[in-house]
Parts: sequence; structure tokens; C-alpha cells
Amino acid sequence: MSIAAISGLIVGVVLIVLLLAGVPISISIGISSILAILPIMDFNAAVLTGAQRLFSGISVFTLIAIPFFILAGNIMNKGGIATRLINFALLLTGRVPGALAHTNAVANMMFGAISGSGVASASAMGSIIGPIEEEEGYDVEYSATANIATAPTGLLIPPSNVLITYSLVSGGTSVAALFMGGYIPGILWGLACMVVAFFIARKKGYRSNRRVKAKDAVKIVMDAIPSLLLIVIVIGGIIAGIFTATEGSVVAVVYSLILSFCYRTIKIKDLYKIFKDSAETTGIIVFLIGVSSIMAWILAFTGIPAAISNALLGISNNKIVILLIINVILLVVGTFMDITPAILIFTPIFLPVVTSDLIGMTAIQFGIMLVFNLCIGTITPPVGNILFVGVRVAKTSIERVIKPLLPYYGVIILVLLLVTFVPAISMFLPRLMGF
Amino acid sequence: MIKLKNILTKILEVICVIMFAFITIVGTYQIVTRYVFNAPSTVSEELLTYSFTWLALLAAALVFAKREHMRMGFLADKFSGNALRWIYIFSELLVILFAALIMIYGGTSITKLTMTQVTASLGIPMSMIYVIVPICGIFVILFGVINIYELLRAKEVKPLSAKKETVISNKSAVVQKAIVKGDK
Amino acid sequence: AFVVSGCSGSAFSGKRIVRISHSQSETHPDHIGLLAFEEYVESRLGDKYDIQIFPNEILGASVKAIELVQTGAIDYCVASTGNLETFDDIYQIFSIPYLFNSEEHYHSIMENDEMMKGIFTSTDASGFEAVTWLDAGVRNFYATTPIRTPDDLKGKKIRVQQSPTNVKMMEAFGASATPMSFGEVYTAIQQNVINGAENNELALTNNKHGEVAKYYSYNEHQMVPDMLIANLKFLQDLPPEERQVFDEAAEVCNRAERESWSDAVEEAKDIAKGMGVEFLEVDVTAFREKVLPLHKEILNENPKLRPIYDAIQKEAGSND
Ligand code: NA
Ligand code: NA
Repeated sequence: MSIAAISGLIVGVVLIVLLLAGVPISISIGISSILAILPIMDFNAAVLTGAQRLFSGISVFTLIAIPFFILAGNIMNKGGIATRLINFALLLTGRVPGALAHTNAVANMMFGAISGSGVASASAMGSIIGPIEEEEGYDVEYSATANIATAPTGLLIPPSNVLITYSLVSGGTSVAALFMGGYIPGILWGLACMVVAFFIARKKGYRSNRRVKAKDAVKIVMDAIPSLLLIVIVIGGIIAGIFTATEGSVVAVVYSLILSFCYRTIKIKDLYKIFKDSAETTGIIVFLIGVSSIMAWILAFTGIPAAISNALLGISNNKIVILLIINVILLVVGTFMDITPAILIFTPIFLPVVTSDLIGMTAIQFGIMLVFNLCIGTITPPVGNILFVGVRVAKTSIERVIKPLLPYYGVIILVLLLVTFVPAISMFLPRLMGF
Repeated sequence: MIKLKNILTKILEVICVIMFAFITIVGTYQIVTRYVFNAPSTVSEELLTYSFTWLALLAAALVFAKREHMRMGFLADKFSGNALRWIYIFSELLVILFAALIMIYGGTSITKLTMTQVTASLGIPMSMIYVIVPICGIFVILFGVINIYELLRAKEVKPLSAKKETVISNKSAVVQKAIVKGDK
Repeated sequence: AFVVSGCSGSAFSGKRIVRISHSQSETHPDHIGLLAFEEYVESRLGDKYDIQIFPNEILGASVKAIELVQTGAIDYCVASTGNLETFDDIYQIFSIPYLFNSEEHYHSIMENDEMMKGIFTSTDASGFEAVTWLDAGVRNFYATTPIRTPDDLKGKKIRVQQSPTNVKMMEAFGASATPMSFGEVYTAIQQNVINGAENNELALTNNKHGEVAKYYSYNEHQMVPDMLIANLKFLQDLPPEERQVFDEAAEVCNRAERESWSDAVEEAKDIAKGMGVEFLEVDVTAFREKVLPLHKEILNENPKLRPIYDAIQKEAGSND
């Protein structure tokens, strides 16, 4: 047996056992990696390398964008930004059947885009729009599913911390290019779900009788402009190359702080808790990234990705078959595992396969496809953060939303296939920008 | 034990908040010098990168105290009673093992190894930067030991996922309140 | 049982895997030189050693890779003298701008074993030493705007290798030094984080920097070799006859790399011109004058450079 096979087996088996035993994912990754390297490396060198990778996996300038986007998101969650975006979305969706569900979807796309968090989006939107929908006579499961199904779009529509993480593990794929690449797939996901919501609403006869007066409309638009401007400044700045993702994230923090102070939703004394919460979230995500860089190093050292890549390419030389296999694996993984660790573990393994001559995918398109797959996992049982939060804010149960979610899963999978097999969906905007 | 944990968490919390505020200020400073004064600062990028690394590692240690690191509880949390107690103790033991091997043993070695190396911009010994790894390792081990002590003493061990869910719903309650307020 | 096993790979195939890391692509002369190294060792000791080359910083970038050679996690790596300077400051000698006055001068010094011995073994205390040098050409400025005189550098953010002397040199030129890892340079220029960098012509093509920086100025501020370094314990544990093979392989690597270097530079220039890069001949003296005061400053700060510096200058005199 080759070193790759033995080390790969050790990593794989130990990792799965520890994960199932509920050991923190970072520790599972760290312990399994070290066990895989000890048989072939001097003990001192192995643990020292581990410490070095842990540190240098974190001390990367690009990664600093992550705590700042988390901080900006937490500031915005406290600020009055969500309500303003909902009112604005309400204007856009008008009086089509299920208008409030469409409002929810559009607001999810915009709020998720700003806060970069699907969970925050599902919780903010669900808790505000949900009660209004109930008043209008929508049934709870209908509102909840529309909210849950569209909340992950914020992870694809920039800014997106998971795309920044991918940029790093994929060997420095441009963050700006990935951000551009996420727009169309994220919006397609949202639109596909709105189509489903439309047909269900028409069948159930949900109509909205709300009329917005012209005077109010102007006020709503004016109210929403500062929040929308944030997207333009931060994302526009990053994409246009005026500043880096890290600088853009700092701008997002400063801007949202100023906005929240103007709205008087945040006081100075709230800042301690906001910083503390953001630091904890940062600790969780970034520690995971550091530990994963131990694993990535050990994978490269022992040649495991190359071995897996060869094995996969050995199964079939049909591009479509291989991509379908990868999609299925990622969907299953996403069902159980959070997005960040899954990106960290599977990028080094699959990236060489999909960028091989046979498949010829760009690292940008793969990043989008990977995140898209894993986003689906956030709204499926048994483990799905967005599903859990969406269900909780709607005060319903997972059992009751699964059936109404099925048509949404269907259309989302359809979009996934488009993202997988039509490169232009992810690549059109990045190419347009010259990437 | 419990008191020691509370003190340690509070200390880490305050350090993390200060460091986070610090990198926010340095980050803002860097942008301002670059765009407003067109005089880019060489030192701030390295300062920012290493401060961020310190923050992330210290915050990670803090989260070990709260046992809130990302995990997959869908199988393990189905257990109850003593089985659950020992599953969680096993998990804490592995946390301690990782911290001891990589963070303390490996971290001390790399700190010693880099005594004579200096960083490029700030020109300080690299070991002064790496030393955060073993320091955080000590925190993680202390928290691990205290967590095991608590798990052994607890009359009934509750599944961690239940705890996480209340955290999330508390957070969404906060969001909701803030929004109603912002609506006025 | 895990803890006591020492020798890489022996547990599985019986062959000792020798891992060599470098940060360049697979078409770079460094890689070609190392392939010759691999071929030389394996054709003689192929039953005992499996040489594996890891390009593209796969196993770690710059200083991190050197640390891994120190610990024996990697056996060999190609290290820049700028990075080696953070381990032993004798390597600072190569950072002195305009140390050599021609490429011939530079090569004749590097080939002088007597003079090089002290430098090659200077890092023994850190657990590694240099086994040969690799030509890394002449370093020049390239940027998004033309740099014709030192004045054109004013207020520009230029990437330098992560070493204190390089930072100082860049500041003496009047630019703002930005130390960063080589792999980040492309996106940094593209995103305007920096305005340019300084390197040999290959950076324009192998690393595609010519796509984002269109002006390359021949100001010739440094002629700096890269070092092939090896873990000292690995070298010392080799039986004498095997050690000799590895030493000869290092020589073979040096020759293959240098041969491929001159071809590579010509080819790179052609391709870069196709990318729209303009090559500018500039008045070297103006640039030299800017940084000449650094010579004295560096020598005062680091007196152990004095003997080798004087020897190099003497050689230059005899060349004239
Ligand atoms: Na987003
Ligand atoms: Na799931």
C-alpha cells in the first residue's frame, strides 16, 4: 500500500469516527491529521509542523475580512436595516399572488447580501414578515418554507465569508471574481423559489390587498437607500479593485456603525457585546481554518488529493458522470456538515479533479458549485442551521415543513445542475470584469 | 473550579474585545492612510495580520470554555445519562490531547526555533509572535480540565445541541426586539 | 508505536522519500534543475531513495518552508537569500544593492567555493545548510506606471521580499516597501494594493505579473542567487558514498538550472512583449546613487559582512 492510501485511510476513518462522536470538528480534523502523519514523520517534526501550520493558516491578510464581515453583520442585525429592506422589497413585489412570500425572498437576497449570513437573514425576516403573513391568512408552513428556502441565497450573493474561505483554500482564487461569480447563481436560486411560491400561492388563493401610497413609496425608497448604498460601496469597491476584500470589510464595519448610530439602534454600551459575540464567531471559524491547514498540508505531503483524483478519474472518463458523483458527495456532506468545515476539507480533494484537462472547470466556477451544494445542506435535515432557525421563528416544526419544502428542493437542484453544467452562469460576470 | 473558569473566561473576553477594537482601528487607519493621505503604511499590514491571528486563537480558546465549537451532534446527542456524560468527557480529552501535542508541545518548539528569526516589517523576534500558540494551549487545557470536572459532577448531563438551540433563539429574540424598535 | 518511528516512508515501501519543496511553477528553471537532481540520485540510488519535488509552495511559502527544513519535515527546499537572512544575517550580503557590478562578476564570486563555504554553512546551528546556489538573475523594478528615474518611485507601494534589508533598500529608493509573500503579488497589483514589485523577467510570465504590470525597468539593483538548502541531520546521516551522490546531484542541479535560466529569460522577454509589457532601459547610476549610502550603513550594522564584502569588491577591481 502506498503512503497516500494508508495516511488517507487513517485520516478518513478517524475523522468520521470522531465527527460522529460529536467531537468538535476542528479537533477531529487536527487529531486525525496528526495520527496520519506520525507513522511517517518524526514526532517532534510532526507536532512542530502542526503548530506552524495552525498559526500560518490563520495569519493571512485576506482572512481578516472574515471577522470584519461578521462584525458588520452583527452591527446590522441590531440596527434597523432589516425593516427598511423589507419595506423596500414590499414595494418591488407589489400585488402578485403570495406577495409577502416574494417580499420575504427578495428581502432575504438583499439582507443576506449585506449581512453575509443566511441564519441571520432567516431569523430576521421570518420574525418580521411571518406574523404579517399570518394576519393576511397565509398558513404558517407556507410562509416558513418560503423564508427557509430563500435564506441561503445570502451565502452566494456577496459579501460571503464562505467564498473568502474558499478563496484561501483554493490557493488564492480572486475574492472579487468569486463575489462576481456568486451573483447569478444566488439570484437564480431566489427566483426559482419565487416561482414555486407563486404557483402555490395562486393555488391557495393568497392575494395581498396592501396598497402603498406614492408618498409612502418615496419615503420607503429614501429609507432603504443608505442600506442599499452599503452594497454598492463595499461590493462595488471590491469588484472594481478600489480596495481589497479586507479593506471592503473594514468599510462595511465603519459604514454600518455610522448608520446604526444615526438610526439610534446601537448605543456605545452595546458595543462590548457585539465585539464579544463577533470575536467568538471569529474564533470558531478561523480556528477551524487554521486546523484545516494542518490537514491540507498533510494531504499534500502524503499525496492524498492526487490519489483520490486519480481514483475518481479512474471510475469514469465521462465528465458528466464525474461531476454528478461530486455533486452527490457534496450534497450528502452538506446534509450533515456545516459549510465552512466542508469547504476546508473538500476543496483540496476535489479541486484538482475538476480543474484537470478532462473536466476543465475554473476554480471560480467550482467554488460557486461547491458553496451552492453546501448551501442546500443548510436547509435540509438532519443538520441545517437555516432550517432550524426558520422553523423556530415561525413556531412550527421540521416535520411539518418538510413536505412543503420538497418542490423548493426540486427547483434548487435544477439550478444546481445549471450551475454545474453551464459555466457561463458562474463565469459570465467574472469574465465581464476581466477575470 | 467554576469560579476559576468564570475569571479566565472574563479575562479572555476582555482581551478579545480590546484586540478586536484594536484591529478595527488599525484597519481603518490603514485605509485612511492609503486613500486619504496616499501614504501607505508598511507596518500596519503586518501588525493587523498578527493581531488578528492572536485574536482568533484567543477567541478560539474562549469558545472551548463554552463548549461552543462547531460539531456534529446529531448522533452523539441522541444518547443520554452516563453514556452522554462519557461521550462528552471523551471529547474534552481529545481537546486536551490536541492542545497538549500541537499547541503546547509543538507551539513551544516553534517558539524556541524562531528565537533568532525576525519579522519583516516590525523587526521583532518571530518567537514573540508564535508564543500565542502555547499560551492559548494552556487556556484550552485548563478549560478542558474544568469542563471534565463539571461533567463528572453534574447530576444530569444535557445534550449540547439543546444548549445551542436556546442560544440561537435568544439571538433571534434580540433581533426581533431591535427591529420592532427600529421600526418606530 | 507511532511516536518512535523516524525514517520517512520506510514503513511502507522500503524507499526513503526525499521531499524537495520550492515555490515556482513546473516550467521554472528551479524545477528543471531539481528534476536533474532527482534523475541523478535515482539513477544511482533509485533502490533506496524516492525523490519527490513539490512545486508551487504546496508545502509552504518562503520562511515557513525553511522552518520545515529546519525540523526535518521537508529534506530540501529552495530558499531566497532574503528569507535566509532572518536565520543568519551573513545572507544580508546579497541584499546589498549593487553589490556586484556585472553578471560575470556575480557568477565568478558564486563559483568561488572558498568564499562561499562560510555562507553555505552559516546556518548549521539552525539545523540546515546550503548545498548549492541557483541563478535567480538580475532583479529590476516593474510596475503599473513606467519607472524611469528614482523620482518615479516616490509614493509608490512596491512589494519586497520579507526581509528587513529589502525594506530598507526600498525606502532608500524612495518607495514605500510592502513585504508580502510572492504568491500574493499578482492579485495585490491587480487590486491596487501595491503599484509594482521587483524581480527578474520570469515573474512577468511564469507568474503572469506582466498581465497586471506593464513596465519593466532595467535598473539592475540586485543580483541575488537562490539557495538549495538541506536538513543538516539528513546530510550527516548519509553514508559517505551516498552523501557524495547527493553532493554531486546538487552540482548537477546547479548546472541544469543555470543553463535553463538564460534560455528562460529570453523566452520570458518575448512572451512578455506579447502581453504588452514594455522593457525600459534606464540610467542605472541614478538608481545606484540613491542606495549607495546603504552599503556603509549595512556594514556598520553588521560588521561580519566586512571581510566578504571587501573580498567581493577586490574581485570586482581585478575584473575591471
Ligand atoms: Na452575502
Ligand atoms: Na442539512
